[in-house]
Amino acid sequence: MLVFDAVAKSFFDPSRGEVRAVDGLSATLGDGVTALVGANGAGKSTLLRLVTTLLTPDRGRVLVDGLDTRLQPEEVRARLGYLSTTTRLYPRLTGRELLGYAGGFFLRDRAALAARIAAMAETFDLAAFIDQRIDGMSTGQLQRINLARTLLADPDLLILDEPTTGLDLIAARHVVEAVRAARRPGRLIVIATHVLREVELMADRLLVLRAGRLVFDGAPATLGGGEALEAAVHDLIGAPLTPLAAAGPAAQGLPAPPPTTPEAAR
Amino acid sequence: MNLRLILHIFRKDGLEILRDKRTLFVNIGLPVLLYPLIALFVVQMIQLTRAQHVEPARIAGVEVPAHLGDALARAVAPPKDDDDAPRETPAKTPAGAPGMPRARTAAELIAVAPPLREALQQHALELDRLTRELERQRPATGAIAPPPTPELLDLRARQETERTALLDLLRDNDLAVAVIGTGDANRVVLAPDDANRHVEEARRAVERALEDYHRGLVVERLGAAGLGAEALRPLERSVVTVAPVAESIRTRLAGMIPLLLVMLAISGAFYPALDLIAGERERGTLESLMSWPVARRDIFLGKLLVTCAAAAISVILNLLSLALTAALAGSQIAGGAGAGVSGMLAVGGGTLLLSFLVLVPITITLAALSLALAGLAASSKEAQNYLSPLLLVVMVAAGVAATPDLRPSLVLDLVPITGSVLVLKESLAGAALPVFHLAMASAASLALAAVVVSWAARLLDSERFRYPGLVRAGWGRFRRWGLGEPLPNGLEVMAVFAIAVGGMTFGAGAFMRWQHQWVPLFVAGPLLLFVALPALAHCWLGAYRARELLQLAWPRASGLLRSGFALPFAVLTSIAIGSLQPAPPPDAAGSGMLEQVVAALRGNGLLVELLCLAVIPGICEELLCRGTLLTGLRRSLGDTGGVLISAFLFATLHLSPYRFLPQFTLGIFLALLTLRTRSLLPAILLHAGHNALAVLLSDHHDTLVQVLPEPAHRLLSAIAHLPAPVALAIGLAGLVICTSLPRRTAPAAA
Repeated sequence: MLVFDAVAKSFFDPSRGEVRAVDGLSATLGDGVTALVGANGAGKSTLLRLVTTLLTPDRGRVLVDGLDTRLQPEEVRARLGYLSTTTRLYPRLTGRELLGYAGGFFLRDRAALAARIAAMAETFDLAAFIDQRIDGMSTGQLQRINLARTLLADPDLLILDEPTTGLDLIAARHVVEAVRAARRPGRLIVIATHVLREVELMADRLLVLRAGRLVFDGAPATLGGGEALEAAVHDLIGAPLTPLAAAGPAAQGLPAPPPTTPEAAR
Repeated sequence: MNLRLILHIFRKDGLEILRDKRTLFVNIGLPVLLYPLIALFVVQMIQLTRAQHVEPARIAGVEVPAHLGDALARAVAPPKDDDDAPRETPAKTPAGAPGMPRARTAAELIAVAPPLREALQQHALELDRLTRELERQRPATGAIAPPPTPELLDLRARQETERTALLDLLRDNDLAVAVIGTGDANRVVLAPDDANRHVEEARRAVERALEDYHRGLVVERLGAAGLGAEALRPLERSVVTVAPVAESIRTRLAGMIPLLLVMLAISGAFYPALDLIAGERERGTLESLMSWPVARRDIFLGKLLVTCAAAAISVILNLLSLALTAALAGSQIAGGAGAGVSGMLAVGGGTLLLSFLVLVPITITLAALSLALAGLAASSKEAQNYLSPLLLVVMVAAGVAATPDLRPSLVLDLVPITGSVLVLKESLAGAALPVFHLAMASAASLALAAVVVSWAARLLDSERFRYPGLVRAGWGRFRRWGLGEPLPNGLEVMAVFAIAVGGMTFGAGAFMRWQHQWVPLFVAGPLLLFVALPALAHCWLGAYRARELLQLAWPRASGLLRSGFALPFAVLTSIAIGSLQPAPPPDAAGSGMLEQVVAALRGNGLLVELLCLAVIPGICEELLCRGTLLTGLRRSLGDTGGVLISAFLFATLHLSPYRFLPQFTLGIFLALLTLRTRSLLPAILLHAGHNALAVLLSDHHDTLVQVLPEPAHRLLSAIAHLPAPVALAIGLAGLVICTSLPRRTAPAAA
């Protein structure tokens, strides 16, 4: 369980002055997948970094399973797996060495660690390249290693900060599948994303952020699906779709796409 | 501290370093290749020069006495052990060391034809005559020269003409030196062309010939007086070599070798430090490392271990490569020197072991400093900019120790790198191992390393380290938005301390300048102006809360009690330490500033003395040292580091080497008292009381005897007769108890 209790975090930006990245936000997140949506600078990454103890709140508290991130940072970190857009891997290690290094911080027992690595290699189909060096891997292979790294210690809290940004269709799809497969009782997955389609595919709960404040908290389905969801979220983040875009492809003289539903996409 | 995780990080970072081509090249490739390559180059160059045909210096002998002519011919004779002259038996020249390339006689004697011979002789003799004439007419040194007479001007003009003519003759015939006879067997004129390329060789050859000729003349005269040539050498002496060559070379190199070792160690730590901290951020792996459950200190210690190992490997490889190269090339280049270096390295097994013993703390310190500085940088390029000054500082610190007459002392031991290098130098120079200094110097180095590790661990923990883009919004009252920092950091309070030290030094200067007048003013003034005022001003300008920064809060009654109980123990400790260390010299001028001030204050009345030496210092120094310094340093270094460093700075503030240890000890307990009572007042009282008692006991003993009741007086004299170590033990024990007894939790408060 993840609790934000009136959390606030400000930065100073030379051009903009004070930036209230997170501005007195409160929320309680339980098991399942929660998606975090907002424009760039709305505070998504800051909020997630507050959870991972990489940043400390100016005011308020962040509690992970009742542990205060500021007071017991190591206990909090022992419970979470964190993957972000900016996460890179040690280029001079092989995939297996990297998993061993990352896992060594969570698991004491070497045999158990080796078993977990083997299990992860199977889950993410790493066998072909796990003993290659990281700097020789493709983007898709890297993302699979990275996902395996994040899930290796079987954490109860998964923090994914835009995990599909910069990936091609196949690799992004792979991430979505992995997140869906990672659902289990007692696990909370928080995922920040710009792709509303992924929200529909994965999330039980949607949080929309605007200027560090929560402007929507509920099931994504309540906002509708497809274009309706998109229009609703754009309204929420303060950037309504232009009439041209809202009118859909027909207004631009393009053939209408076949209707899609989330079920069809699965 | 989690040893398993430290080793986990060590293994992985070590593996990564081993796979980093740049570090491998610098730490392993360079030492293995560099020295043999340099040696090869030098050997090649020497052989090249040997093979090269060198144009000889040309010497002309004109109408010289026959014996001198022979001597000249001998002096320029071609080297006998050259490859192209194998017909004669090789003879060692006395000047050349065995195995050294023989000094080559690169000069030849030119036979000059009659017209040139006469011209040379004519011009040279005339020039000689004119020069001597002018010399005679020169006024005595210091006398005012009269205006030149027409005759003098004429002489000078003729001298110039002759000089030019002679020079033209020398140049036209490419002569370096002309040796000209005067017809008198006991007098020759030398005319060197000092601008000639080969003039030095020519002069040496001529000097040898003249020496030879001179000796011949002397022997001849001795013979005329009935004496043999042995009369020239009334004393025969010979030197036998006692010390092994290697050892004598070692002593001569003792100053340089530690410097070399330290430079090797820091250059070995340089690239790993860059790669392990700045590289981690640059490659984007820092964020995930920081999100794993491991303490920042353990991360830093793991990386420190790798850096130390890399530095050690680099030093060992460098030394091995150097020794091997010296051994191999030594026989080829310069037998003596090469064998000496290799012999020294091979023979001194114990020396090498000692070197490593001394180098361990230095290496840890250097590695910690490099890592921490690299951590300040946003990229490895920036980190290089930070590390270069460190290299310079280390070079100076180690270079100072190479000063020939500098020997280990208690003060120098405390200078981190210098102290250790001095110890190493001392033992390399053949003295007995200075165990005490070794321990002190190592402790000083390790203490610095501990402070750096503690600081760096906190650095890793700061948001601005992980996200260097985060900018501060200004400082204190000058900030533009939001909340300021709740408390200052160590660097900030060190700046305040620098103002205080500058002010106190200025006050001391003023005190000296005014010839010990208005002493109370010069004691109280700097304390109020440069110690108390900066502390208060910093607190106000920084918008800090005086209660939190300066600990300005009322203590509980128990806090005051602690202070009161600690007082006699504090005085006892100070006196005991004072009597255990060397006493200051009796004349005031040779002792520290504090002793001079105390001496000058005498006779201003007890009240002024107590005010200037106890009350005002108590308040002012506590505000700075236990207020600003302690709080800021604790924030950057933690409690232990804060207490130790603030006590160290407090002791240096007193500008007296003899007060250093007592004040350092007192400072520790004053800091502990402040931490324990969460108020500055007990420390102020203890400090003022300690100073007041010290003044009373030393200068007003008689007054004290009159005032005190009989039992107290008897107790005092009993204590005064305790042996110093016992008194110190009692004092320290009392202070420890008074400052560290746990607070009794009031049941009502819970």
